[in-house]
Amino acid sequence: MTKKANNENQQVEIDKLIHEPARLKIIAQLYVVESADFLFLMRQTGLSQGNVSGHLSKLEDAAYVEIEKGYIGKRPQTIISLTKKGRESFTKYIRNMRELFDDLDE
Amino acid sequence: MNLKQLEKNTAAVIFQTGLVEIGIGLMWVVSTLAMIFDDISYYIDILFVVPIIFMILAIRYIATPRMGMVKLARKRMRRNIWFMVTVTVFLVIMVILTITGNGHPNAVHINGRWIISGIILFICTTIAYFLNFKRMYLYAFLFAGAFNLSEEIRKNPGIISDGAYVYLIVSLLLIVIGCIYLISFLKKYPLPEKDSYDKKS
Repeated sequence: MTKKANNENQQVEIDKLIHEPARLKIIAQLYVVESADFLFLMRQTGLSQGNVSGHLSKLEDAAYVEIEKGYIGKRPQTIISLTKKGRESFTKYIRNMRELFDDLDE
Repeated sequence: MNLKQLEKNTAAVIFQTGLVEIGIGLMWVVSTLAMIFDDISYYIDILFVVPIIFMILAIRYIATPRMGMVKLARKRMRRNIWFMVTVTVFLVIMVILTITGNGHPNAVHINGRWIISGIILFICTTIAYFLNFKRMYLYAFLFAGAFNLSEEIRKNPGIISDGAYVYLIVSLLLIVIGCIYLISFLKKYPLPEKDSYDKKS
């Protein structure tokens, strides 16, 4: 998705990986914390287990999130955090979206 | 999407459980007992660890398995530390002023009741602000009012001869509110079958 911005033929690129609504929720939630476990992410985004798993797979493949599997006692736990690339991509996404809407207002 | 609000809500997620209200309610129960059994209140004060242990264990075994775990951002952790420092500094200043003011000819003689009510209000509203625990703004006035009322009853005993009844009412109120939130939380967040991330190729 691209849009011509201003009169300088600048292309505002929107990251489609982040732009998908469910993934946007996941990344936004991870962006405001240091890390969260799978259950917390599921609860806060309101998405189903399969949904979160599927989206996390895509984000992990793009190296936007880091996933660590461990245990608390005998209970498995999956900790997810945004990578540096993921944070930078999200920051860029926010900037690009603001620029896009600023241009629309004009 | 408001990221700032999302971050605040994330940090305040524990307050959905009602466990904090129940814990504070139990503290008021201990205060009630300390007032009733005034002679052995030093020993009853030891019981204040019970609500604290309750909150720690309840959060660990009831809340966390249902809502998951989060590590807050460093900025939020620093803010929480500043909050604790602010409250501690304020308390220390109040103690110093009280000690140095006692017996001093130029000391301003303010009824201690109002000072303590002010401290209660300040601490509770600080908690509400820094920890984003909005209900605490209401509780601030409830607690300060309860303290004042109990002191008034002690001074002017009538039909109700003991200010402890006020503390008891506050404790029961908080425990009931906490239980209502807890039941709602347990219904909203049942125990998951498993915490599993199944990587899909």
